[in-house]
Amino acid sequence: MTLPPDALSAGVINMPDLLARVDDDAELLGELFEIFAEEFPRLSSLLTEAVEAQDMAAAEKAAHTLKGMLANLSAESAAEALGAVEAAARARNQPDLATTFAAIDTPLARLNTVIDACLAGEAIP
Amino acid sequence: MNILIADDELMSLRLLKKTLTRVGYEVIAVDNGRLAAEQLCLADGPRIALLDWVMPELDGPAVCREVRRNHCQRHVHIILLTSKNTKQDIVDGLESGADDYLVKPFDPEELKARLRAGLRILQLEDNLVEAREGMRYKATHDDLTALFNRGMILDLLSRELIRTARDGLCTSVLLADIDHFKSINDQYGHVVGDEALREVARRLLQAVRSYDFVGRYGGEEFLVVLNNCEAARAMERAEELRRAVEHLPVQTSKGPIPITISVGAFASRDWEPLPVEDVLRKVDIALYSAKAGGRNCSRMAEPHPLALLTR
Repeated sequence: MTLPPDALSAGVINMPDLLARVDDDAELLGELFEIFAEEFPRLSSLLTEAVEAQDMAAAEKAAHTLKGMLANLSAESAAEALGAVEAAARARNQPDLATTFAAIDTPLARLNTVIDACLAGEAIP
Repeated sequence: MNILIADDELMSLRLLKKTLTRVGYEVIAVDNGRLAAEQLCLADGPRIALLDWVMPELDGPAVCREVRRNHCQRHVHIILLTSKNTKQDIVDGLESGADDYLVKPFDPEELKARLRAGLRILQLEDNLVEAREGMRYKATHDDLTALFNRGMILDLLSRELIRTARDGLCTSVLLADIDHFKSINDQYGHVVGDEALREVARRLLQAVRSYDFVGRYGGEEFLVVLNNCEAARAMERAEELRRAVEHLPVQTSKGPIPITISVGAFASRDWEPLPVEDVLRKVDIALYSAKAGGRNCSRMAEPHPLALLTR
């Protein structure tokens, strides 16, 4: 695992913040990225299914969990996007839920790119 | 210090565990609220906890409520650590019984500082409990002998008499007085008198069963409450106590001093239920009878036929 270069992580992960949270422990950071890589597909599916089924309570819970994980990674824009999904689901606002849900793809895709690169050891500054 | 972390999100759990282990906490990690509540309600469970809000089975606020409802022996410092961050969430979380509230993602330095604040509160509670227990002990025990003091032994006697009357059992009461104690004080001084009192107290305490009560009734008088003890046995016990004091001289700073006691005895079954004052009057008369009978002997309160029992 290598740390992502600024160019890759800029706007995706607040690296200074994340490094402070893990106390500059690269090994722990690697573990967190691995947990994300393992957990993300499951949580993402839960959210997608809930949104498609218009199950607001399930959507709120899945968005909340995913948001928490993204916040721990200091993936601020992705966490913010998921926070909007959670809020729409909590408000039981179907149109907002659809709109906010559609807006999470880009930040999540960028985050996955950064984390995949780090885990593959490709992102050497 | 043990700390409980409860979170169903794997990454938070890992991050918290590592952060807390680094600063010396022993971490107990669980992934649902029910397990968290169970751990926190154990008598020797963790006294500080970080709880996520959204968890399976019981959410964080429900854990707080359960712990506050069930756990009154000692305080558990609970911090809700959640990504719920509205003012209403914070109010609801604290109202549920949480002591503190932190929003995810946590800042490690803030988290550590909040935990230190929690530990200070727990330390304060420990100090207060210790002081309270010290005061309780002082309020119920005799400074010199460490036996129950007069107030406490009379309270215990009163309770036993009530229980005895209710359950149809027999409580026996012994009133023991050190013979010629004044002359010990006069001859050897009050320090030696105190040494004698302490040693007699120790011997009496050693001679009774673990569920009997021994208290210092007055200057050189000791009251012994024998639970579930019939009259005949009470006289045997009185004699055992008397012999326990008599059989070896008391070692004092002025050398060994032979000491004896006289004992008055009372058995509740021999009488109609009596108030404590009357019981004390009867047993005091029996003690007086033992003194009049030459001291270093035991006498049962009338009307028991064993009242004439001698050594």
